[in-house]
This record gives sequence, C-alpha cells and structure tokens, in this order.
Amino acid sequence: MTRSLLVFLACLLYVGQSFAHGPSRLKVEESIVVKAPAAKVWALIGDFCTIDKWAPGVVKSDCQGGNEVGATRVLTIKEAGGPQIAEELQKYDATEMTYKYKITKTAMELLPVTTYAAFLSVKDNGDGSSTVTWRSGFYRGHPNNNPPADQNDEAATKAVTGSYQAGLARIKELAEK
Amino acid sequence: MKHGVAVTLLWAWSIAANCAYAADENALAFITNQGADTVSVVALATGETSKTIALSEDPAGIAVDPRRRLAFVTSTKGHQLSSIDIDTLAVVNHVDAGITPLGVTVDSRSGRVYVADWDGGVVRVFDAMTLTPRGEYKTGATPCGVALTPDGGRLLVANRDDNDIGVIDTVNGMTEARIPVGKAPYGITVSPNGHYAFVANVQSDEVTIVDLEALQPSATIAVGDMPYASVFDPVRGRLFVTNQSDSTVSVLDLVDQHEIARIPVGEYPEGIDMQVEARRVYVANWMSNDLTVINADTLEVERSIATGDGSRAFGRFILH
Repeated sequence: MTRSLLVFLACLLYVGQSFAHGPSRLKVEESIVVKAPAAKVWALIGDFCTIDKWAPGVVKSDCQGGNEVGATRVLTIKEAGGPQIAEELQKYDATEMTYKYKITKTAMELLPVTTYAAFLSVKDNGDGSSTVTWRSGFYRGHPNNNPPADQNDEAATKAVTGSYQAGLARIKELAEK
Repeated sequence: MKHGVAVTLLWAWSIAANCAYAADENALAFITNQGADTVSVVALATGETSKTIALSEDPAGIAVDPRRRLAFVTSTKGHQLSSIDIDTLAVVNHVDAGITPLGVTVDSRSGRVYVADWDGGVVRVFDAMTLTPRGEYKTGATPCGVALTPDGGRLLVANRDDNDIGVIDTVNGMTEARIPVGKAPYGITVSPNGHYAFVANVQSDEVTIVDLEALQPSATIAVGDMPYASVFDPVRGRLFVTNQSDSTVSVLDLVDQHEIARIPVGEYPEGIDMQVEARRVYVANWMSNDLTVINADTLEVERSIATGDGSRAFGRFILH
C-alpha cells in the first residue's frame, strides 16, 4: 500500500511535466451514429467550455478563453470538491465541427495518462444522421518500465475508452431527444 | 558556422548531383505500423502497397540495407529485431534485442546493425546477415534515435531523458563525447559529409545543430510542437522536421538557420524520409494512418497514401 501510494504521488508530480514516458504512444478512437443532423449535435457539444452539459461525471467546468486556441477548462469530476482534470484547447474549427485539446493536469486515479491530446468531431452523414468521433493519443500514467497494474498501458486505454463510450452514448441520448 | 554550413551544403549538392541514387522507379518505403503490428511496403512510383508484412508486437524503428537487400525492424513490445528480405518481402530472421528495442540504423559497408534499447540503456550491435549479437555500447538514459556518420566510424545516439546525444566510436565502443542539446532529444540526422548532426528536441520545440568536428552544439532553430525526426535535403540545403502535436512539417533553411515554411500534413506526423532526385518527402502519420507526400521544391502536399494503424517509420525507411 505504501509503495503504491508513493508511486501514485510520484506520478502526480510527473503529470504536468511529462518528462519521461513509455516508448509507445497509445491510441483510442470511438465513434457513434446519432439520429440527428450534425448541426444539432455540434450545437450541443461544440462549445469547449460547457462540456459539463453532456459529459457524464463532469459536475463543473471552470473555463477561460471561450473557443480561442489556448482556452482552458478545469473539470470537476463526480461531485463538488471531487478530483479535477485541466485541459487546454489547441485547435478549433466550427466549420469542420471539430476541436482538439490536451490535458495539462490529469487525475491519475481516474485517467492514468500522460501527454494526452484528443480530437472531438462531428460529421454529417447526409441522411439526417451524423457521426461523432472522439479519439486521442496518450502515454500510460507510469513513465518507466514495469509499471504498476493501475498505471500500465491497459489501464490507460481502458480508462480513456470507457470515458469516450460513456460520453458518446450520452451525446446520442441528448441529441436524439 | 554559417561558412561551414555553406561548404557542407555545396559538398552535399555535388554529392547529390553525381551520386548513384538508384533509379527511383523501384523505390520502396517500409512503413512500420505500430498499432497494426505490420510493415506496409509501398512502391513509391505508383503509391501502391506491394505487401503488408506481419511483424512482432509494436514495430517502430526501421533501417534499410540496399547492399544486403534487407530491411530491419524493431518491435518495442515484442522485444525483437527482425530482418525482411527486400526481394521476397518476407521476414527471414529475428533475434531478441533487449527490453525495448527502438531506434535502428545499419552500416552497409561493415554489415552491422545498431539498435537503441530504450529501457536497457544500451545500443546493441548485430550482424546484418545473421543477426548474431556482436556486443553493446553503454548509453545515457532512454536512448532512442540513432544515426551513423557516413564512414560508419561514429554512432550518434539521442539520450532522451539526459537531454544529450552520445558520440560513440564504433571501433572500440567508447563514448567520445556527450553533447548537451535541447529537452528530450529524439530523432537524429547526420549531414552527408558527417560534419553536422541535426537533433529534434521533443520538449523544447527546436532542432539543435551539432558540430561533429568541434563536438559541440552550434545553433538551434525553433520548429513546431513536439518535433520527432528530420530528413536533410542536400539539393537545397534544407531540413524537413515532423512536428507531432501540431500535425505539420517545418522546413528549415540551414544556412540562414531559420524556419522558412510549415506544411500541414496528416495527424501526429512522426517518421520522415525523402527521395532526393525524385524531389519527394514522405511523412508517416501515426494518428491518421497514412503517408503524406510533399514536393520538396514547391513544398506542396501532393497526396496521401493509406498505410496501417499507428504508422511511425522511425528511421531511414526508403530503399532508393
């Protein structure tokens, strides 16, 4: 228990800095078809700040900068005073209905990743439906060889995949109302 | 320094003009697809994929030996170095290559393959024909990119977490120098006359030009977000550098030592190589799973070629 606590604390220190990482960047891509036109979906999810309107588990989003490159949001997860994840907007294209952001500070117990950047996009399918795609590249939470089970590649991939699937399902539910 | 670079470029240009760059119609690109555990072999004259070869887990690094007609691939999770016969496009040999084999380069004259072991803190040496282990050189922390001087006499290795490059004498295995560069050095390219090395520094968003005669850094040039690797164009004296995080390629004028263009390519560009005579630069894009083809003179993107999941192609991946 002490060792894993020390590893956990050590990794919190790594988080904002990402000096070291495993050699393999990991990729997750999830998408969902929504029975609603792209414009309607984008109206729901296209604002970088208001992710708390649709992402499960995000109870609060403290943001600055609107949809300008460099804008930031700090997400409080699960409950008031809960763990936080800080993110920064890197690209934003309202015409293409896509934005790219990176995590600047993660909550390692929820999302054990480093050097994480993600794209969220909506594409019209031309038949009244649209496809929402969420994908990212990241490294596992533990930088060196022989990572503990809760910070290895599998743990990172599972956490990211789970959050995308839950988020996309909720987008579909809300947009199809 | 500028005079030295200009002399290098004149020399390099004369080499390029007279050199036997083999007929481009048979040129192939060997693209490692980390996510798919394959290598895509692309015929560059047509853009067609000749074959998709299954490899040991997480293939990343690539080097090509035109003399022995072999391509070498490192598998970071499979812990192997594999060799591919270029004529049959079959894997003909493999060997355990340490903990996390990553960067790889081959000396066609001496028949030696050098592999950086990221978690092992060494470069391992193998015989190119048989893959028999021939020894190892101690490196700094998390060695990744490797490159040889043209005479094969020195191996350069990027020690990522030490923020320096090691210069290793390949005859006696001794480290001649550890030269500080930027933060998190990754890919290394050596100029054709062996006078300069160009090092991409992932976390300081710059390329360091290292003077290999003085064994010192001589200049830095700012590039885009998280540079990975580079390729030198001897005809125009330029360096093309992949910027992973902003999905662009920086074009650097090496005489004036500044960026002259930034070209949007696929997502998460990583490995980069070029056909000097055919005037094409090829970029492997890890997120978009394709190759971006750039005209080296007009700097325009000509097309994209679909490859496999997680294309990295870290190293010199073109058989000319």
